[in-house]
Amino acid sequence: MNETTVVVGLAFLVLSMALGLILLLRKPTGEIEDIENGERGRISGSDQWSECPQETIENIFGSDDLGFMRAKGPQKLRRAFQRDRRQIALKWVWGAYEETQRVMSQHLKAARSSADLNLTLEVSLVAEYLLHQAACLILVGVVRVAGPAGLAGFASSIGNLRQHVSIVMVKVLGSGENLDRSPGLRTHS
Amino acid sequence: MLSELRFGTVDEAYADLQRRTLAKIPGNFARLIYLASTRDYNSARYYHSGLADRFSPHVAEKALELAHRDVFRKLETSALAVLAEELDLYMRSTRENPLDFFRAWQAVEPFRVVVPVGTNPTSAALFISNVRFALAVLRSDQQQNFPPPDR
Repeated sequence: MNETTVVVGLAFLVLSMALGLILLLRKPTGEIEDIENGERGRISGSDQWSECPQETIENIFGSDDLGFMRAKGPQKLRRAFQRDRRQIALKWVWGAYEETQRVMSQHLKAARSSADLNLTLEVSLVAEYLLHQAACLILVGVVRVAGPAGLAGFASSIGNLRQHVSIVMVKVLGSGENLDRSPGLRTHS
Repeated sequence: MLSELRFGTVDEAYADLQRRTLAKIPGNFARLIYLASTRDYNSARYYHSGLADRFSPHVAEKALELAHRDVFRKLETSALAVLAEELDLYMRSTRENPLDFFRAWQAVEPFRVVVPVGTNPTSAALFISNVRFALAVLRSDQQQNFPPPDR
């Protein structure tokens, strides 16, 4: 291993830790909670998916179920369980990544044809979007290497980030009259 | 709208369903199986004759759908240990031979059809996975505590 590889590796590690800390320290504001509560309603029988409940995300990324399997299941079953949970966790993270990418792409299409862009809000939206996508990629990496157990806080902070993206998008839509109204971003997809 | 005013609201039908039917069913897993069984396989519409008579078919359908979603949500957000307890309670309530029950459930996987329409794919995947592992753990416990007789 040469010196450059070590330096790049360390830089990546420091960057990941800093990003992780930012994500963990960020808390949803009252405004975020209001939007989230407004979005949560009883779903009528439509083709649209409901959002993934916070408790479900906590179960996927928590360690209680793994503890139960360790106590009750034979070793072969435990391995199968860990493999299954890893797949489910990755499915959730990629779902969040792709949904955000889809909505952002729709927004960018609408923004290109808009005459009155609010540059500050657009920059803020892109920053939140990039942070969210980077966090998803880091989580994918960690889940692939170590599995999802014990990452509930990190996964929840991705949910919070999605809300931030959603809030900025609502602000952008409110400020630009010519922007097409996109369907918006659901939380905890 | 008019029919809802005349026959009562979805909330009233939901409360009636809880009181008269669901309260008498032991455990959320059994309730989930029951509610899913009121849904037509082909149209995914819910039907319950008593509830439809007391309210209206439309109101009854909505109440059943809500109840199905609520019970499913309780189970899908439960820890695996709780789900295993619920499944054990359901298995006992069927009075089926436990090993026959596990064999059938692991082969046919009837729990796949109890997921409400529109459930988030991650939630559905977690629920199905949890039921599979709960079944495996319960079966393993059963075989340890009551090994099958030597043939």
